Formats: sequence, C-alpha cells, structure tokens
Amino acid sequence: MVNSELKREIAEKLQDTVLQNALGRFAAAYPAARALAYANIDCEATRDAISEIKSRAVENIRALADQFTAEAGKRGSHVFRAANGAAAQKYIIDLLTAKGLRRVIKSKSMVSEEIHLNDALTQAGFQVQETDLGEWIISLAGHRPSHMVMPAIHLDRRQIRNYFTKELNKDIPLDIAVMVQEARQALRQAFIRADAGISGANFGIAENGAIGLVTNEGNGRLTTTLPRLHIVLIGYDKLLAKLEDAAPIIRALPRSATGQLLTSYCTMISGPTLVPYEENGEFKLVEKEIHYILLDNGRLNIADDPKFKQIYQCIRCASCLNVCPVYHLVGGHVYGHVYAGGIGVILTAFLNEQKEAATAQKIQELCLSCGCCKEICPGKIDIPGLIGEMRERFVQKEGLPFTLGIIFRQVMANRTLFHALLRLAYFAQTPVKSGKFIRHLPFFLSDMVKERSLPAIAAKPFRDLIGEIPEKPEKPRARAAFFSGCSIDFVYPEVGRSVLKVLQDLDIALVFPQAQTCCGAPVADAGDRETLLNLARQNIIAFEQLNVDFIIAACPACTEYLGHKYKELFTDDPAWTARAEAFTHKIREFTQVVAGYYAQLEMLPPPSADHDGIKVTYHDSCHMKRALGISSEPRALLQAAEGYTYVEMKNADTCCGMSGAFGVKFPELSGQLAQKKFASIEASGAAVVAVSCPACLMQIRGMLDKKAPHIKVKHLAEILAGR
Amino acid sequence: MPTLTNWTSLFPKVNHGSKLFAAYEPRAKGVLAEVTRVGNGKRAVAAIIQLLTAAQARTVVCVPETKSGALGLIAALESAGFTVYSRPEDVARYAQTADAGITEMEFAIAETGSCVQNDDRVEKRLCSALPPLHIGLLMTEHILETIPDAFRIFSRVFDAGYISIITGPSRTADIERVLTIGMHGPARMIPVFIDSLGGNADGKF
Ligand code: SF4
Ligand code: SF4
Repeated sequence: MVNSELKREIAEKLQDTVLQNALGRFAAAYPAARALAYANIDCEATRDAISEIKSRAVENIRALADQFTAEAGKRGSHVFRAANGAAAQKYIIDLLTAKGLRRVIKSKSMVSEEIHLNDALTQAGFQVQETDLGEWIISLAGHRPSHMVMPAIHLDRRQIRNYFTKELNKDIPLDIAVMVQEARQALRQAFIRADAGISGANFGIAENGAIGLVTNEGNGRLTTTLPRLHIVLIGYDKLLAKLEDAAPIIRALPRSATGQLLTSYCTMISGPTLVPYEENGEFKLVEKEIHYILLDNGRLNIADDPKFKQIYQCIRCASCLNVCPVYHLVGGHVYGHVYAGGIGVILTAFLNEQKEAATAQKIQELCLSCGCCKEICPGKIDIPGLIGEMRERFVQKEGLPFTLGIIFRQVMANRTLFHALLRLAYFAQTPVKSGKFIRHLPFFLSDMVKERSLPAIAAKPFRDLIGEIPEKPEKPRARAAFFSGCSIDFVYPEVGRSVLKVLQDLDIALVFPQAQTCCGAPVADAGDRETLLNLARQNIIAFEQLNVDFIIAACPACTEYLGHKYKELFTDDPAWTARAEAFTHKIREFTQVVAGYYAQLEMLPPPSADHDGIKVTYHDSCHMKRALGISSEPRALLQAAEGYTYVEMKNADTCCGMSGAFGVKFPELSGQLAQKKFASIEASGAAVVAVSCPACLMQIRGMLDKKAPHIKVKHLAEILAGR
Repeated sequence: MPTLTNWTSLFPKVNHGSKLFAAYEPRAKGVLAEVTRVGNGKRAVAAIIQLLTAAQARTVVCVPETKSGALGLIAALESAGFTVYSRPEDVARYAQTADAGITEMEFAIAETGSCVQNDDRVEKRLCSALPPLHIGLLMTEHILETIPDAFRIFSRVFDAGYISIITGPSRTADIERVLTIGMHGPARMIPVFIDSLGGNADGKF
C-alpha cells in the first residue's frame, strides 16, 4: 500500500507554489518547443535508429566494453571498471591522493549523483566544485537534482539570489543576467585553479575509445581542457559500437531535452591532449591524463534481463519527465533518489545494487500508465510497461498485501463470488449513498477507497438487463459478442444498453456470454499475474465457442487487455497461446466498429436530443489514444452528429487522473489532475463532454457533479444512441 | 582529427557547399550566432577588424592555421593596433584575460546551425572557450547538410584527439528557464564565412 511518508512528501510538494508555478509553465511550453525542434528531421526514424542502435549495443555489451577499454588504452587513456559506487569512489580518491591533487571541478554527471561522489570526495578532504549552473545552485542549496536536465527547476530567482548572496558574500541584484555573470566569474576562478576535472559522458564509442559530452554552458569543454587530470564517469549503458551510432543520439538528445536543435557545445574526446600549466609564473603546455571509470552498479545484470535491458535505450534526455502528468504535479524530489519520473522509478530500482529497493518500491505506484512518456521517448522505452513488470516481480517475490491477496485470488478469481459481492454491494451501499455517489465502497476494495467517493453500484447489472431487451434484428448484418467489463456491467449498465442500441440500429446482432468476467487490468496493475492468467482463461473460454464475427468492447482498458495483452500472457504454453490469439484476433473497439459501419452505410449519428447547436467536446482516454491509437474516429462522429457543435478542449489527451487504482491510491494527485481537466472543459464552453472509457466517465462525472452539474458527461455510446 | 584544406573531398557528392548557406544561416542566427559572410580574404580581414573595433577589443588570442596564414591576419590585426598573442604558451597565459579569440573551423552543419572545430590543439580550445568573444573562420563551400553527414566524416577522420561542434554562444536556462548567454564560454560567437581566400574584391559579399 502507499507509504505514508510518500503521501506526506506529495502533500508538501502540492503546497510548494514556486514548484507548482515552475512545473506548470514548463509543462505548458514543452510540447510546442519539442515539436518545433523536430520539424526539420524525421522524428520517428530517429527514434527507430536509437532504439535499434542501443538495443544492439546491449546485446553485445561485454564485448563492447572490452573493445572500448582496449581502444581507449591504445590512445593513452586509462580505463577502470568499477563494480559499484564504492569502487568508483575509492579509485578516484586514491588517484587524486597519489597525485597530490586537491581541487576538483565537475561538469554535470548523473552517474556522479548516482554514486554520491561529491559527499565522498568532500569527506575525504577534497575541494569539490560543481560548475554546471543548475548543479552549482543545488549544491549551494543542499538539494538533490529535481530534474535530470534542469536540476534546479524547483527553485526561483529569489531563492537562488539568496543562495548566491550567502555563498559570494555580497549583495546580488534580482536580475538573472547579472546573477549568471556573477556565477561565471566565481566559477571561472575555480576552473583556473582546478587540479582535476570530473565529467560524465553522453556516450562512449567502442571503435575508437572516444567519449562525447553535450553541454550548453561550456563547462564541459573547460573541465576537459584546463586541469591536468580528467576523470570521466560513464555507465556501461552509454557505450555504442561506432562513432556513426552517435549521430541519431546527438540529433535527438537536445531536441527532446530542451527543444534545441543542438546544444551550444558537443565535444568528442579520445586520448589525452596537452593542457596549459603554470609553474612559477611560466606558462607551458604539458601532457594530461585521462581516466575513464566504466561503472556497472547494477547495469551488467540488467543487460541480461530480457525485459529490463530496454533501459540501455535511455539517453537521459528527461523528456519522459517533461510530459509526465505525475511529475508535473510533484516534481523530482518525491522520487527519492537522483533519477526522477517514470524512468527514474526504474533506474532507481536497478542502478543501485538494490540499495534503493525500498525507495523503488515506494515510488513504483507513481505512474498512471498514461503512456505519454512511451509515446515520445527517443529510445522507445516502454516505461509504463516496465513499471508494471516491476510491480509484477515485486508481487512474485514479496506476495500481495494481505487484503489484496484475498480480494484478487479468492474473490476476483471466482466470478460467481465476485459478482455476488458486487450485487451485495448495491445493498450495502444504500445507507451511505448520497445522490449517485457514495463515500465508501463496501469491504471488497475497502482500504483503497477510504478517501474517495466512487459511483454507486447499479441496482441491476447489465448482465441482468440484457435478458429483458427484445432481440433484434431479424437478418443481422453481422454477429458480435459484447464484452462489457465490470464498470459497464455493474456501474454503468445504461452505457451497455446504449452500446446494444447503436449496434442493433446497425443491424448487428449482439450476444452477451454470462460467463465473462473482469478483463484483469486491475489485478495486472497491482502486479498479480497469477490472477490475470486465471481471468484471461475464463474470458477466452466464455467467448471462444460463440459463433460471432467479432467481439466488441466499449472500454479501452479492457480492449487493450483482451486485444493485445492476452496473447503475450501464455508464453510457455503454445496451446493457450493459440487460443488467446484466436480470441484477441476478434476484439474490436466499439467506436471504431461504429465509425466503420457508418462510413460503409453512409449513415450519420442521430441528432442531438437536447437543444440545437449544443456544444460537445471530447476527452481522450489514455488507453484509447495511446494504447489503441484511436483519436480521430470519436471526433469525426461527434462532428458529424446533427444538433451538436464540436469544440476541442485544450489538452484533451491529458490524463483525467483516474487510471485504475492510481485514483484511489493518490486521491490528492488524482484530484489535481481532475481539476486541470475541469479547467479545460470549462474553458471549452462545452455543455456535453464525450468520453469513450467508463473510468474517465467515473472520474469526470464525479468532478462535474460537484463543480458544474450543468455540464453533462456521456459515454460516446450514449450520444450515438441518441440519449 | 586532422585539419584538412580540402574537406570537400570527404563530403557527400550531392548536397554540400555554399548553396546550403541559406539553410544554415537562419538556424545559426536562431541560436544567436552572429553569422557573417564575406566574398574574399581581404574583406574577411576588414570584417574582423571592424568587429573587434566595435567590440572595443584590445587584446586578441589567435591560433593561425591555413586560412589566417593566407590572409596575413595577425600582421593586419597588429598594424590595426590590436595586441595579438598566438604562440601556444602565450595563448595559455593570455586567453583568460583576452577580449577576443580567433580560430579556424572546419565545416558547418546546416541542420543545426553548427560549426565543427578540430580541437586537438589545446590553444584553439582556449581561444574559443575563455574570451567573451569568439570569431571562427570557415570556408563557405564547407557546409554539410545534416548531423549524420558530419558523423560519417568523423568516423573516417577522427581516430584520436578532440572535436568540438559549436552552435552559437554559451548559454544557460538554469534559472527559471530564462535563456541567458555567456555562462562559461563566449557570450558572442561569430562565424565568418569566406567565399574564396583569394578572389577579387568585387563579389556580392
Ligand atoms: S526514458 Fe526515454 S524519455 Fe526518459 S530520459 Fe530516457 S531516453 Fe529520455
Ligand atoms: S506512463 Fe504516464 S504517469 Fe507513468 S511515467 Fe509515463 S508519463 Fe508518467
């Protein structure tokens, strides 16, 4: 269950107005900046190239590391392979000590943060100076970075001015240009005096032992040009086979990170060159030394993991944070370690020899599975998928929390019992029901829903209603089966009736197998693969004997599970894989089916039952848009519907905040996301909000009922049924 | 990486050269590079003197290679009254306090508005990293279209040493994401494109 410390931290961040303003402005500005930066290259081809190059690199990682070591050695650089942070720290301390060097300057390195190098060096008596402006600021503030590319995004100019005033011991005006000049002068002195420079690396090239550094400020070039010793911290995940492999990374990194075509400086270094050296007032040029520290710290283990080796495709651009609705609300510190956002959840779990396992477990819930990050990640990493995998492995190792174990394994896995309890819930909720919403769902999900109102269970589930509806049509155009999902079945049976009506109007015969059960998304979300498999089998059995042309679902989360995930479940079982494939092959999403038939039959949706010209807007469900790729059909249907005026709301595809159990685990965050959605809806001026997902319906209706009961939210099926 | 005078021999057959200047220029200006183009060597020298004078520069560090040698740049600057340091040891001593640095660059990349500098020699890095103003000399015919084009060339010529791809002045946005130039490197970056080192003085530029 969600850790109370995490909840406290989240509450604190939601109160931090500086952070909220900064993240709000950034979230609003980023997408357009990114799109503009990619306008002159083929973004998708670049993403394909990166994921291909980097997935090839991880397959060969040990050979690449050997080649990199040998080639770097040939060109005069030293390579030390550090198994973990402690080994890296010790090597650096010993090296500096042996050479009698004390003053160390650093350009930005996430690996250095990962292994807490500054603390170790300072404790060992060395002077350590960060030179990246953002890193310097947070070192003065004593903070951890809150963003991988913009470490000080959580601070404003006033706070920073105060840190500068204290550090430089003079009055600094509240003027960013002047503050930057002050920082330049202070840090320039540090550069000139430095004995050793420590940098990270954005990539390392096996074929010639080169490393590449991408910076805007120019501190990377100075760190690698002025001191006599250059130490490079580089993770195994940064190795590439060839120099040409770096091209797509150089193209994507600045574009994705900050919306720049390229950063001011991109440098590539292989082997030592000369450095300036002053001795008794004499300037001369002397040889320098380069030491690469190739850091494992969990990376080689992941390289062997069939799923998590994907994290080698990460180029640390942080664009996954830039689009993450959760990051936009809480910032980076809540993620507990140095890597934030969705990828941070994963990196924290693996790049630490499990030292941060508790942190990782704590933060693995901080994901809506909205898919925004996956859609834009230049390395094409399936971040929500990997977070799901993490939860699943955690459950395999630690078991489910006690109550969830009972709910999933003994209740949900047993359809008769599960449905009986849902029916019972209708009676149990009556005393506390207020309008359509109740405060507490009874026992079966009790500890999840304490803080949240959820919709009432319907008096009669759809599965009971369907028997009462007369069978139409006589000569059907097609035969379909309906998979309702729990929400439509037990909470929104009227949506099920609308689905039925729309399809019958199209002369499609619909059957509803009573043995169908939950699609499994909620249990999968909690990491319970065992129950997911059980439910998948039950559903496949319920539908496979039916003589139907296709199976329709009107819930995108169910559609994704039935239509995509089921076939990947039975990897060790060819017989079940075949059955699952036959099943998934028939799955269709309701809107797409209807749009297809309307086009084929040249039909229009029914006119608005309300007054003429009523404004309608559409909210994209995350699963509908990003997992199923359906976003134009619902809009086209609404635009074609007579009596409606379609208006597009701002950020229509931003998550409403429900997302499975997230909404009940983090009611504050879910509420904030709902609030943002409400602001977009209100600004659109729409009187009706159309959705295609019952979970979005639940979230948006819950909010509108409280804030603007005159705005109606309807499932698209209801609108198409003329309701 | 070697310094070549005939980069063109390594360039892709189609799509390189001065016709890409039109694509390069707006991208470079977009990141605040002060792009300058001149028709010939004489005009390059005149333009540089004018730029330095306008910037009220007095001391200049400069690493002469083939282009500035051919232009007699150092002698011209000295006779115009600037103090010029160009011996590596002098550059090492004076780069921190010089008003401007002048280097020669290899080729430009239209896709990103960038200039590539062979930085094996530390004095070139000092000239282009420490002073507040950096002037880089390039030939207009040495423009490539894309980053992958540039990396195909690197993979043929970069065995060891140091390469810098420079795109406009030094910048930061670490305070409230406000773009501010001149963080650690030069606040002004002026690529000077020369159509032809010799040539007559009557061209368009
Ligand atoms: S996971 Fe993808 S988007 Fe996130 S930092 Fe890595 S490369 Fe960038
Ligand atoms: S799936 Fe959505 S919530 Fe989860 S990490 Fe990615 S962007 Fe954030």
